[in-house]
Amino acid sequence: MIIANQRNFATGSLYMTIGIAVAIGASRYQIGTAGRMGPGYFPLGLGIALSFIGLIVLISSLGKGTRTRIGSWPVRNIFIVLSSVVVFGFSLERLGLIIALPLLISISSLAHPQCSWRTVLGSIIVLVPFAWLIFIHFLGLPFPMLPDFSL
Amino acid sequence: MDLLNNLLLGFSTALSWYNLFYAFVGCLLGTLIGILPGLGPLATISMLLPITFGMDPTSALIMLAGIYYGAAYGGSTTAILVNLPGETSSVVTVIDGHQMAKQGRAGVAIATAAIGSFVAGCIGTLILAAFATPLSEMAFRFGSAEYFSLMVVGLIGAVSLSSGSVIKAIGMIIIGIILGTIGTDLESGVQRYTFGIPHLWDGLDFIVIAVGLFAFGEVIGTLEEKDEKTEVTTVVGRLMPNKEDFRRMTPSILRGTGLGSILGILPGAGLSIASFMSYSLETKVSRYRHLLGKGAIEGVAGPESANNAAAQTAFIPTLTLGIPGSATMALLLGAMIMHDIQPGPQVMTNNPELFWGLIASMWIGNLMLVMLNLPLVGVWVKLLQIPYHVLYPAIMLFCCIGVYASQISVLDVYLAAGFGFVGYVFRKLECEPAPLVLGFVLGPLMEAHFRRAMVLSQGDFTTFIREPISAGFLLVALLLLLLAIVPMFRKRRDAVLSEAD
Repeated sequence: MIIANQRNFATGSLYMTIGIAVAIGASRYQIGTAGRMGPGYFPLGLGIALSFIGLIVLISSLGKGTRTRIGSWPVRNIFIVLSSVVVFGFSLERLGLIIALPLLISISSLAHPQCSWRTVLGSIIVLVPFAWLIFIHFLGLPFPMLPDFSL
Repeated sequence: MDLLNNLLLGFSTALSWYNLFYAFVGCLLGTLIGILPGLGPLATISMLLPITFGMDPTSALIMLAGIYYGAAYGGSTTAILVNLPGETSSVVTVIDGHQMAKQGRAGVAIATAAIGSFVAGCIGTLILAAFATPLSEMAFRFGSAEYFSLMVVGLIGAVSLSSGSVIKAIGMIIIGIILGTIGTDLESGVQRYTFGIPHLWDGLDFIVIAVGLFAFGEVIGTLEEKDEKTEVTTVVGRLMPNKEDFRRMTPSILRGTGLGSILGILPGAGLSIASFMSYSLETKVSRYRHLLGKGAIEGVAGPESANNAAAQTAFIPTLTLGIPGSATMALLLGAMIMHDIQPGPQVMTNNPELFWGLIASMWIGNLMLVMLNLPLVGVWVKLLQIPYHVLYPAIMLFCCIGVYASQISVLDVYLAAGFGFVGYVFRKLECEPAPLVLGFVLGPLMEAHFRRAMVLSQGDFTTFIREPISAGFLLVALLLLLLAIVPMFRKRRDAVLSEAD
């Protein structure tokens, strides 16, 4: 067997994995009967349907035909962008917006080759007061602005 | 007369100074963000949703509707000034719009788009107002079986008319429905797929999924693209179209509006199909068809009217039946649920000010768009020159704050980061994330109706095909599916859609 379409092969495997996992999870809940469905009935059906669709996509990706590849992964950018979000989440309630936002801006900026400390600094100077004005001052959202020293 | 009274009620709601203010802010923000290239309407709406959290539902929806068509409109300005569509629905505007810009007629092209959108928006809003009452009266007679089947039509319609693999899109819908089952099962009280995390008892927050899949996924995706220097047209030129322009654009605007209004009502047809079909209609019937592609005003007027008319009439199934036809509408529906309004035919009877106020505000919003866009063209040109490396940290900031603010929960921020990764993987595998959101929003309702219908029929699955209306819906769904899968039709569909891409 040759994998002609890498994308569809991966999609099929992914769908099947999710489908089977969901179905196994559903079977732990009460299934019930068609007339009196338990909480597990609907998810079980969905899981089975998804793994079936995954199987079709998987089979369709096999065979000869022209080969399509997934291509490379920008691991660095994915890591930088998503970790900036995680760092924001981690620091927000401990250190307040005044530290969490500059962290978010400076870490996420690293993903772009043209970022320089000047633009990052500029963004921080403009965006942090702007965020305070809109979200805390006007919208009154309960955000911690300053570090919480009790933690 | 009822319609008149209803519209009066609507205008008295929409014309209150604070609702006018929110409509204005919505249009302004929507256009502002919609203009930025690489940020589609889905990402725009999910990014701006949190701003409406503190408002009362009517104002919030008025503002969101403003954001929605502001974003739809902003994309066309980008298409004309930069040779780059801000979103799929303005892909065809690029063809003639950018040619016009090259000939120094960018201003006229932008004004034409604005005028066409305004006319289309007005007519679309009238159609919406006229259809709303009869449709929701009909929907009141639907039982659970009918509702379930109607949702199947909506979901299948959305995937069969979108580009890309149908079977993969159906898989994405199912994943969406599965994500929708997370949380407490309303009938038995059992926690499903919550992994012992109390925060998930109420289910996944929809903004977490939207921001993660669309906004974060889009940022990572855009960063990956090689930084091509795109040329921004900075010379806008004269704004006002001349007599000749007006004479030529009028028939195209009317044709585009008619076509767009019909297509907007259909589930899944969406704005991009409307603008593409309108363009191909122009190439067949316009008297100036030989000029299309070389900067013909018809090529801007037709598609822009079509996509705006469709943007208005797309509200019809969403507001009257509670069934969104596209992922963007699903986002608005999700926003309604967040504001404790259960979408469906009862909205019109339970919240008449909200319903008719929203419709009236659409008309006002369309007027505002014209008044905003023409004088502010200079600002938009400046905005387009902001480099991406300055822009995306600001996008990230809005998204992160929005996700946290939705439930005041740090866990949501982490979950959104997770969905950002998932969104990127789907992008890489060429699985459209939009159907997933549709499935997620409709899923819980679908399960509830499915289970209720099955209780009523005492476990007999044939109930869905024995009830005549339900059977009719399922037949439509089957036809739509065949249309997308059967090779003969499929070739045509792919041809149409690939040109639209």
